[in-house]
Amino acid sequence: MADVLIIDDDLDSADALSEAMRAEGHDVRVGYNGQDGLRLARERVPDVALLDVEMPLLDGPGMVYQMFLHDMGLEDVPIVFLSGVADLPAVAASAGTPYFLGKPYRYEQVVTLVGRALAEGVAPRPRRA
Amino acid sequence: MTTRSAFERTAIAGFAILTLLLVFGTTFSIRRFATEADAQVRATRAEEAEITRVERLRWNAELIFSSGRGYLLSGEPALLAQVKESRQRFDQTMAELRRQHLSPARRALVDEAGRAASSYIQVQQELIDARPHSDDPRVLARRFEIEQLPLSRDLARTLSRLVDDMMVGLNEHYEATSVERAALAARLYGLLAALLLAAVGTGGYFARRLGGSLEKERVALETAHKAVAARDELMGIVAHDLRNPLGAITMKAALMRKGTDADRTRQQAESIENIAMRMEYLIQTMLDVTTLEARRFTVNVGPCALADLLRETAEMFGTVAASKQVRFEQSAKEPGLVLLVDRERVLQVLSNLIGNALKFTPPGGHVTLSVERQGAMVQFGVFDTGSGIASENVARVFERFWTETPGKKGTGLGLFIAKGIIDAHGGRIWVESKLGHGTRFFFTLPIAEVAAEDVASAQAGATPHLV
Repeated sequence: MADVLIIDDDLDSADALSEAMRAEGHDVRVGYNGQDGLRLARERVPDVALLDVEMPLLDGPGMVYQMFLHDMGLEDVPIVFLSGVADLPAVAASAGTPYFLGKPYRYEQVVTLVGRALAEGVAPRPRRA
Repeated sequence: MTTRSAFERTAIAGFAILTLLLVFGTTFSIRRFATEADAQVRATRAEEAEITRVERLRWNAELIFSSGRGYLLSGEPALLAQVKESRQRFDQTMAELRRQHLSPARRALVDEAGRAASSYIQVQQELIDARPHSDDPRVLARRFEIEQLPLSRDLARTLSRLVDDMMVGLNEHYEATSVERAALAARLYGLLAALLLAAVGTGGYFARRLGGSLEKERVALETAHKAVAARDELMGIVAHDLRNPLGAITMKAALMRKGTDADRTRQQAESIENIAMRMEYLIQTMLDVTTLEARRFTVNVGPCALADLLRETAEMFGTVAASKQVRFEQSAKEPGLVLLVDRERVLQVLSNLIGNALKFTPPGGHVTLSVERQGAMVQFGVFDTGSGIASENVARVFERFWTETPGKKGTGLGLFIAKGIIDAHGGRIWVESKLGHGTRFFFTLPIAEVAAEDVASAQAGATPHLV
């Protein structure tokens, strides 16, 4: 039982993922862009954040950067990138997080990865800073 | 390298032949000029040599005259020797002169001089012979002066005339040669100028041709690069936009596999169906773009009732608008009009424009679809009270991949396809917008040229589900 924050502008993806996380027994909140995500994270610091990369208003890496730089207490939240972008490993590396999974992924893969992120709790260290 | 046209081949051959002729002409002229100049120099030297001989004749005559007079007065034998030597030289020079190729007039003058000289010498010899026997040399000198002076004057005059004649001849010769030389030089300069012109012309032509073909190649390469870049971009969009729904389907399927609640499972199956349809729509969009770009896009037109289009859009967007708290209105003065269009394609345009309008209109605003007749066309208008488009972007909205929110939501292909569809109908699509004052899209479509009694059947045919 963990507090999971899901941010994805693709409603179907967000919907499916949140259902899966709920099925795994987690407490889930959903946002549809980076700004949404920052607002929700400030309201209550999540145990893990699952982010899409390309989103309107504020993208995934941008949100990680904001969390790291400006919001006290949010810099230790482990980040999992879930996206269909071609250069996902590079994006994750530049955001400084070891957790990422390309779309489309299998149910078990994402559950395992989120479990690992929760257990290890490695916080991102963005290179842009 | 581009292929050469027959005209170009002919032109090149013409240039080559012309240049060759000019080169030959110039070479020949230079040779002519050189030989002509040589001949002239030789002729001038010959003339000058003749004048020198005549001058020598005059000088020797002078010596014969003065030495002879001196001898008669003094009886000095050295002077007599001088006379003899001078006579010898005179004869020698005369002989030389006669050997030359002379004009008849000049030869007559030379002969006259010869005659004058021999009569003078004859008289002089008589007096010289008389000298040893004479008592008073002054008498002899006196006689000499009386008898010889006119003769010596004759000789001197004749020789002077000869010199004058030769001078005139020489001057004429000088003038003639200078005129000839000038003509030759002019011809040579003309040929050189023509050669230069031909060279410049040929060079310029080939430089332009080369530049033109280089430019063409550069443009072709740029176009190819752009096409490749556009295709890569499209492939990127396809990959990304298909992975999102695929991910959702995978997850939903896994949940169905794990789930036990029948209702929940049915909902998930429904959701998978919807997502799959949206993927199909996306694939259709990509295919439309591909056909539009290949200029192979066509529409299947047929009679279509305007009322049918209005009803369809109202059904499609009524609930969406309501859920967004946006009012969706339609206004049509002549809903009975029949259009000659591809019904599905026009619905695609309408749903794109109305969908966009709803997306960018905040709650409390409204979206209007207005239709009015304009001659043989019908003008559709889709108006919203949304944020509007920045003036610098208004011209770009129909470009491929243009979106109001770059790189994020939407493929940026909807309006590009809409323009393709309207263009294929022979209509026109445009937009009026101002940031903060909403957006107004317009497009025109043709009215079907059908008789009044056919309208009802056309309407029935176009909307079979209404009957």
